[in-house]
Amino acid sequence: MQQIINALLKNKKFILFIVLLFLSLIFIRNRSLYHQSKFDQLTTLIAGEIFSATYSINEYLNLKKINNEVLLDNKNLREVLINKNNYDLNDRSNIAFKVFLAKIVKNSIKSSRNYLIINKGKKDSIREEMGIISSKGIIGIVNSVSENYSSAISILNKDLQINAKFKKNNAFGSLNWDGINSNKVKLNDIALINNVNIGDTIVTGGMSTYFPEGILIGVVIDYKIVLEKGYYEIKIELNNKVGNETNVYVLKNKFQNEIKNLE
Amino acid sequence: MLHENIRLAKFFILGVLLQVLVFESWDFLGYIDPIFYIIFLLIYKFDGSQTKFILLSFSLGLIVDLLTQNPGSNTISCLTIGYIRPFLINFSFGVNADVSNGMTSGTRIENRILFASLIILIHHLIYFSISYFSFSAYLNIIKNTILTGILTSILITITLGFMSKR
Repeated sequence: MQQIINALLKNKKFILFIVLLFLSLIFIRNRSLYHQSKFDQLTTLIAGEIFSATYSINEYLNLKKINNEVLLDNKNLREVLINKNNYDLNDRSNIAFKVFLAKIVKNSIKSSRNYLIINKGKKDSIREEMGIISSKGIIGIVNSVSENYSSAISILNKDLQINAKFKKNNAFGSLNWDGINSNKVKLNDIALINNVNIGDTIVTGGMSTYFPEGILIGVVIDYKIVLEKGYYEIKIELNNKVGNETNVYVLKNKFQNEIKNLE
Repeated sequence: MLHENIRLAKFFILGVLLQVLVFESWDFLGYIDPIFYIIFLLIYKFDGSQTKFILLSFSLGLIVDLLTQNPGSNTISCLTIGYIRPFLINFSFGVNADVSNGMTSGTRIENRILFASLIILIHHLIYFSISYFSFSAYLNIIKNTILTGILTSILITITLGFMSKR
């Protein structure tokens, strides 16, 4: 307290000057409409700048929260999109595919049999044989689940075969990776009777229980006719870069067990 | 001390009255009004109390503003001079800054001219900046500062010369 009083006494002239200057400004503001409007403009400008800066800082600090909200929104919208044929906003019990949000915590594209780990497990309702997609394409299929994490076979795994089809004519075949280029996969078993062009879009076929029909996979970049087999050998460029994906959606097919029992 | 206070009061009252009754409506060349009361800010003792001087400067400006219907430019310019005057004295007079009545005797004429010029220039610059209160009027502010400053300087020089002779 003594120090504060000493500091005030030491700077008494400056404090007196500031106090009187403040009084002068009030005086000038009250006596002149011109100065009043100028002061108001100035204070509005300063207040605007301060609020704008505060808003920017708050916006930056809330980015994580906003990001999570956007992800949640995207998850819900993707659920609507995947189940567009039987989606009822008031009753979600009828939908075939339920969507869960997850993050890839470990990913590899260097081996010929790649696996990835996501940060959701049994307690988040993740089970084996659920499909994993990202906003740009398919990622893989869950093959083992622990309490908090799940491991999945990546689409970049030579052992994985995924049912895929041409978007334009529904000609379907089997998609698998040859273990060479992480952006390219092969589509086999497309009969020569079908017309194939470079640039054709390939989507999931919907014949498996892992992925719904119509999820984008990639486009045709090259194809060969293998006459002796009667099939095309088609090279597809993946729409997504599996190694760069972080946020993914895990798809739970409500009717998976029922279909598997029939098979 | 009493004599000094009477002298100050004389300049204070004389400055205000002459400013309000004569110079405020002088309109030299149609629009230039010298600021005569500034003489009080010049002749106040160099070693006098600054706190007292700040209060007196503020009162001087305020009274002139009230009597001339001015929004407050005299108050702020006088108050600012009241606060920065010791720095200007040290800058202008150097080792002679402690001469009590340095503006009228005991100091070199060029130091006095420098000191008076700085006080007049800063005062007028603040005065016209507050009056116009707009960046776009900077040419008018500079023009008025210079022209009014010249007229004020002439008036102050005559008055101080007359005082010195006496």
